[in-house]
Amino acid sequence: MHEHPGQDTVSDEARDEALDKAVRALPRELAPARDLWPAMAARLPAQRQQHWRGQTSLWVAAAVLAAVWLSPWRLPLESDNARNPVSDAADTLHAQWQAAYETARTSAAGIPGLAYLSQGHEWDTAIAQVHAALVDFPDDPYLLAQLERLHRERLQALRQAIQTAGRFERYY
Amino acid sequence: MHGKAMSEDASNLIRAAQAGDVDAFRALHRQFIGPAYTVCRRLLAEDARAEDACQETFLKVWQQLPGFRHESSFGTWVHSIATRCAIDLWRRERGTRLLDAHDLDSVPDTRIVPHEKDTERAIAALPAQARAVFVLFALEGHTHQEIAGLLGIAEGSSRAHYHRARSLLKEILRDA
Repeated sequence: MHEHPGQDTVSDEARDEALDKAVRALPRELAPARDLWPAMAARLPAQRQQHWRGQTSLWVAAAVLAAVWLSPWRLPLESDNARNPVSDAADTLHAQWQAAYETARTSAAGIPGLAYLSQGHEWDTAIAQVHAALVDFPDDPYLLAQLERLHRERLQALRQAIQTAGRFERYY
Repeated sequence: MHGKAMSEDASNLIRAAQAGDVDAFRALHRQFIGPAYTVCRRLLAEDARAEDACQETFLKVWQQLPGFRHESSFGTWVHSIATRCAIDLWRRERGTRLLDAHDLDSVPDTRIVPHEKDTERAIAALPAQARAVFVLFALEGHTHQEIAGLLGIAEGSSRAHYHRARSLLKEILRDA
């Protein structure tokens, strides 16, 4: 059986329009069937206290991390397990960065810009911010992807500095 | 209520709640629960799960209120937390990522929509992954790039699930 060539198209367009119209007609808001406040209210005081304790701990942890990262004699962190749970990829990149940093730090030639790359750089700040957000959303894929990206960029910057230093070294 | 008056009122309530005033927070809860519940209900498709996500949302709002800066819209801030809470709950309950390739072939649960011309129910009847993408794109106004970030999927997968959702919805509404 042959159908008119334009019949399906027109029909589909009409159904598209009907769907769009139906979606536009949806109510802007839905209301819960019952009052959700009483169940939640009972948990509020403890939650706020827990938050401040958690936030204080976070700042303390951040300060300790910053102190270690700022130290010129910094060694690879053995206490990395204390960090927030993050993706395996971010952990791996962090370990690679530590290894590269150690190599650069002990290099006889010295690496120009190494201090800049290791001391409170914007990547460290951004990584700390993502860690803070992960406290509330530990499985958020966007945050985990951001964390991995930041670790990757930080590692690439360090490696480029090492490679550049290597090229300069050949001239001296 | 006029927008400005409501805005000033909300601003005062936010400051009071930031200082620990539970009554003020209750007023904020009453004022902003509608949009939060809506996104949770549409993403999760069940009242009980939406209520759980909503509770998580406002607990997080309470926790994070001291750090809230009045530069941004409180409503938008609450809404973004609700969206993330709903997605987080969905993922925890399923024990899997929001999207996988098999979902493209799954069919709507027609038991939920027995011949009803009800768009809301039709959306709820969509396969979970297609529903999530449709709600975030068509109703919440996110781009496919943003949805990809939120759900941890490829942008192309988001587009595919959206078109699949549209096809299914057209079938459901035609047959209703």
